[in-house]
Amino acid sequence: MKGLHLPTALPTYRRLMGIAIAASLALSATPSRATPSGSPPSPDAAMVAAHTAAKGDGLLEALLTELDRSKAQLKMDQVQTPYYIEYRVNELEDIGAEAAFGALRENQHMHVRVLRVVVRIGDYKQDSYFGRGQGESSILPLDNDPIALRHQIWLATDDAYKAAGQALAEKQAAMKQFSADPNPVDDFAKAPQMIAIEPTASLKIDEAAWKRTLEDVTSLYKEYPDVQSVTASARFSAVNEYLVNSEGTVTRSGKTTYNVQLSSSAQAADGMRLSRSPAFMVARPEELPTRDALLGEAKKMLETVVALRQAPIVEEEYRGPVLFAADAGNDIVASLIGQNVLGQKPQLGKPNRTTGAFATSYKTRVLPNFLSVVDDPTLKYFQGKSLVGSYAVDSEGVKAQAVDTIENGMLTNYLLGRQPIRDFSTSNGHGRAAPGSFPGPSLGVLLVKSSEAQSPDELKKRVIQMVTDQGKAYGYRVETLGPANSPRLLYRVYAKDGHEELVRGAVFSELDIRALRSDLIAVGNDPLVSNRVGGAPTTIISPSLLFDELEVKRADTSKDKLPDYPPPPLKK
Amino acid sequence: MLPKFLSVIDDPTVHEMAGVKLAGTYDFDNEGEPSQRVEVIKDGVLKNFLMSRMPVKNFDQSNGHGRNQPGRMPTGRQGNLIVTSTQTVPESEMRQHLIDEAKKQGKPYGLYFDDIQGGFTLTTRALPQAFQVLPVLVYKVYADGRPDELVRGVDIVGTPLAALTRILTTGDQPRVFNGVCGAESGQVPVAAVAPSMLFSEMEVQKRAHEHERPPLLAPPGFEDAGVAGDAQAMPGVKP
Repeated sequence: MKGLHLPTALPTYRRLMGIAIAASLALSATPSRATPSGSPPSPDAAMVAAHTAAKGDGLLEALLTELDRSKAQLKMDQVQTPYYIEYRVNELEDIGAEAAFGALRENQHMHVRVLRVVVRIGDYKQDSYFGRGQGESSILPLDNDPIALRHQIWLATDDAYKAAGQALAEKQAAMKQFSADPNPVDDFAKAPQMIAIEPTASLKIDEAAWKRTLEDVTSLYKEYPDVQSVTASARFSAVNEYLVNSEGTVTRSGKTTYNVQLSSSAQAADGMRLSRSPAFMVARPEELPTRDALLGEAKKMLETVVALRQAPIVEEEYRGPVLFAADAGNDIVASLIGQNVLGQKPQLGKPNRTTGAFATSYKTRVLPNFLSVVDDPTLKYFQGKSLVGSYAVDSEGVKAQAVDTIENGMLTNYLLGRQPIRDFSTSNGHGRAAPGSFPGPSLGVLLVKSSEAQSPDELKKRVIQMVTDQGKAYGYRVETLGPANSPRLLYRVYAKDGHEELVRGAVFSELDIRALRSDLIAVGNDPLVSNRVGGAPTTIISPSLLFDELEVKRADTSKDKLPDYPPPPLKK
Repeated sequence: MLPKFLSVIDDPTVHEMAGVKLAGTYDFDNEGEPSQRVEVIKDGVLKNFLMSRMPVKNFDQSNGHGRNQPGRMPTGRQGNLIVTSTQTVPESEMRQHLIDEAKKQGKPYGLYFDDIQGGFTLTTRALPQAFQVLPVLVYKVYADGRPDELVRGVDIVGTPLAALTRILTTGDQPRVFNGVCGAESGQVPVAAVAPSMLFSEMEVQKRAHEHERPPLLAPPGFEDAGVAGDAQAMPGVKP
């Protein structure tokens, strides 16, 4: 097809959904209250309280005005009236910059308000939350002109209601394909009214200084001719979340995240690609590394990339003890525990409790009995560090709670939003959402606790003792992991004198939940805070992990050729 | 390709026509070739193509039309496409010519297309060479003197060669369309300049249309006016 002529005046389309958003500010203590359960207020009284709480905030007022109108009047022939309506607005302010080889190469500013409307018809037992019935998104004006705001809210609500009508019929038709569940799980959990108006958040950062720092850091390439790429990027975000629903809930919360990431890659003489990408993410700008500290980190990164080029390749398979430093252990906890404790409801017609690997593990042992795991979003700091996964009220207006998911190795609970799963009928305050996206069970601040922790040095000594006993020349210690839990910095720890040797080109082949349950024999007393970007920002706090037997083997990497000719000379 | 009284040039060196700045103006194309005025159709006969540095059979030189959206590979593209006519009538008489032609053909009305939102042409050999124009403002101009009637839901379709030979006459006032043209090398700003044209015949089809209901509630600020959504009915067109 050729020649699609469009008048220049046509509105440019906004690219937006799915922008990696990171946010979370230390939530200051602010008034919040949940109405005592047992005495729910009358719907009218609840809405009166909601209006009172929203007073003075133009956006909340506009949302509530349209909510009232939609609640009272939305009715299409042969379609039920809504039993639940929810408006969530995420106002996002984002500064993004990236430098490479000493110069800025990307510089972005974004400010956008995303509205998500959910209209549910049916009832809590079975409703229209299916397919398009999961909500409509739209972009709202940035100022608080009430009519301009309400106009977009009005149209999005209309779409959402009509979609709900269609979705409920589709869902009921789809369910006819499956045999009836004798103990059906409700579609939506009841939750008490929540009113919590927190202050909004904004970015407080010296942007110009940071851009210079990014340039300075990447100028280090001049000292490392063997390194092929050096970049440094910063992404600073403030996300303010506004939520109102037809149950009278009104919340407003603000979070900031400040994320700086370094990245570098090189090729070994044999063509193997090697890279490192340390990141620093915090909720308060003053916790970011200083310029000098970041320069130091960058040097360390570049030196390890250069060292990796010279490191021997892991050629032969190894089966024996492997020690994961806290940084590496963190990634394992995130992927093997974090993802599996989420109470994510499976697709229609699937019998499992959740979609994760712990779906059938309720009240069974999933970790060694000296370990417990709690997700506590109410934790704001740990060892003086801000936790980006912290929040007071979740994206569905439910108060954050500490949830013991694994107690002495036994799985006792899942993290839940307002979508119930089998045997778990109410939210425990973990329904979180990325801007414009639907909420789902998510981590907040996941903390791994141990009843028998040892220092990292003692753990290393144990590795040496074990390989000596097994007659092996060395064991392995992992410093950091890359994508898919592949080692980035892997060291051989020699039995005879304990010295370490950096190696490359290895993967773990049996690093799974079975290994975690049966082969994890000890943890360190060195819990590390790892703040993570995601749909909603999360924090994982976990120590070093020692496995008594894991397989380390050669990675199946392609042997790419080196560049044909050398990099441009530094001097003319 | 066209009636003898029509010629088409593409001239990126022109900055302004009929008092309007042209969107397809440039000094050098995206391959560094100086822009050139190219006579594409002279007195109805195809003379040349808009060329980039990629040769096609019998045309082996760029004529300064290698253009691209940033990041794409350039190909031969439009700049300012200008249609000129030697058979014109004053713009004010075009409507009467339309009525006369409708009467001559025994039709109750002719169609007057005032504004379009865009259009496209299929140019691959795997598909029929056809075009579609998406009008915004279309009027029925009645032969019996009734007032013009605004209608909607109609698209112009056809095959380029058949449609273009049915041009009877043109107006004498060139009008400028500034827009963005999309093709293999992405979106580039272009202009098209042409007078109004009277076609003896043109195929129109009803636009694909879903019978979506207008919004259920009145727009905010108009709650008391009793307006719910799209209340005014407009007649559809019967081709």
